[in-house]
Amino acid sequence: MNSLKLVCPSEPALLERLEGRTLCVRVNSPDAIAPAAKLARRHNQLFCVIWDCAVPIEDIQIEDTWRGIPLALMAPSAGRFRGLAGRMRALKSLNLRVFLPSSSVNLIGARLLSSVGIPICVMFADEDAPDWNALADLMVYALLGMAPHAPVEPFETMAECYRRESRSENWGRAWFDDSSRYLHVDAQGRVAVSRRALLAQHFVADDIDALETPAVRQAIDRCSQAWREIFADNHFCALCKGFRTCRGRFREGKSEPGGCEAFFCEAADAIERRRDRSKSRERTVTWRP
Amino acid sequence: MANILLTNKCVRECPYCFAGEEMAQSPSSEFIAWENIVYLADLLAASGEKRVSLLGGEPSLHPEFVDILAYFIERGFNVSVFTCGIMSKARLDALAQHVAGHSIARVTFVCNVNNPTQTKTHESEIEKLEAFLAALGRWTMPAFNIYRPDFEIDFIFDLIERHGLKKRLRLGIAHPIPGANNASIEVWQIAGVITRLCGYRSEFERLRIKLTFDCGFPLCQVSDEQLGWLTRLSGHMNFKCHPAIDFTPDMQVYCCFPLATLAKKSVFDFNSFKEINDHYRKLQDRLRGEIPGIYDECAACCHRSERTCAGGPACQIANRLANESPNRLRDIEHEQLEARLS
Repeated sequence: MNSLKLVCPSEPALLERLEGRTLCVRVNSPDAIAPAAKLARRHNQLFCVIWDCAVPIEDIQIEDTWRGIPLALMAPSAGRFRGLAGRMRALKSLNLRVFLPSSSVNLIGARLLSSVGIPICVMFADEDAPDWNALADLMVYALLGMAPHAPVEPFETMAECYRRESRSENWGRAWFDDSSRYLHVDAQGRVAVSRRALLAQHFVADDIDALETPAVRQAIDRCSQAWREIFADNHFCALCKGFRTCRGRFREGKSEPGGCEAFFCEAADAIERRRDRSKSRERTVTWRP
Repeated sequence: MANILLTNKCVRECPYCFAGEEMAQSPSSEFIAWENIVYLADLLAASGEKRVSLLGGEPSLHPEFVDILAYFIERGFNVSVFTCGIMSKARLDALAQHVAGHSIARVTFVCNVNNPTQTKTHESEIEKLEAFLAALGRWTMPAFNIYRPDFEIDFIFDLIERHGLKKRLRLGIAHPIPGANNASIEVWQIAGVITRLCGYRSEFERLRIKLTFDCGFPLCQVSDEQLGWLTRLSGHMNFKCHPAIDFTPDMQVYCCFPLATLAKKSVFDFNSFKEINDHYRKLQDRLRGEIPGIYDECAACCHRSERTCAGGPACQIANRLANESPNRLRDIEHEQLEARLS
């Protein structure tokens, strides 16, 4: 259980109680980033600071004090490129990944940022289906783009998880949504298996002291083994060709022709093509006497 | 050289426009999409290209023109923008604000100017051009298209002096487009054009302004004395005609506007910029295989065989072929359509 990372708010009293843990500290103000990192590093391992930013990236004032802090910047949008261009050097000097929601404009913004060297993650929520065609374009760019670019998540993680024998691998970890790796803690110390569960106040433990109990372990296992229910219930996802990529992540959504199924099948194809490409690039050494 | 057309729209109606025919056939509302911008930037970057030109229509009409310019600069390209300088105050302010942070080596506005006394020009056009040059003169190289033998360029020296423009003038000859009737210079008028140009020698020398020839000036039409002066003034002069690769907003590609109808392909048919260049170089060679140059003498010319002169521009050659042997041109067109890339 100690290998689990805890996503928690930057509350001094809470962080003290979490001594020795690896933390992703959540802040909602730029002024809180450096103090939160300092505080977390005093008694804990800092995995990253997550900043829930309310403004587009072009409007952010970048501080020198953020250098050396692993920063997950969750912004509503990238903004206009002319605004970003002026702060690109400062952005690149940070240990940064930008997280954007999956609106059509943001899918373009994600591609632009990646192409100029900013690591990016597009978050497509379980409940809101994105524009699958536009997302597929971005996925192909991320996995098979012809010029070097910064990684685009969750496609890199999706490619890593693409192994038929380990169905519990969860590419949602790209945005901290994988209960086998991340638990979410609120200011009162209550624990949830995902951000969504935390916001809905579905807790698996009422206090962080209960983290090591079998009940929490069972709740985590239930989440990571949820794919089994898809097959047991004969859910339409169990018959879907895209399952080996999506792992039933959109089982709660509507099944639309050409929707998630087409996307995840194309993703599987792109991952296979990328693997073939990297295999063909491997140098072959010819035997010589 | 890669030219990316940001839009088909233009705010002017130049009588010599060699893009008009092509533009008229394209959807008028079309602006290039960001996905395509990134694709083309990747294509060029992966091929080792360092320069890119943004064209139109009038490229500044693209609603995100400033952002696109900023993007190409950020990707490490040296960018030339082919513009007429006519844009709204808001657009100009945004552009000037962004460009102010970049050196004149990274961004060049190639501003196409018409002589208002010889080409119908609305007063508001002149005002907007003046505002553009006042704001961005340092980054601007004037360009002029010669479409009548009695052209006058005094006004360009005045613009260069008043606005501190780059001291280089890009000169092009307006060529006839196969099948169209744009105002243009006939091949037999070229020698007179060069003589008239050399008549401005004292002004060029007084202001130390260099000349760049656009494609298609034939070397044989320049006397030794004229060539000596041009070379002393501007260094090496270009008498060649390489494919200028144009990418359209809907991701088609062709080599230069006047040949657009002849050999348009999809960008996605090619894997690299080099492949595109090779493809269109072959097309030009194919045309020159049919007719060596714009003059009969080109066939036996040593400058052409030594490749110091292209024998005139490919579009003039295509035009000559269209007049003299339209079936052969149709055959070439057909071959291009059928061509399968490896």
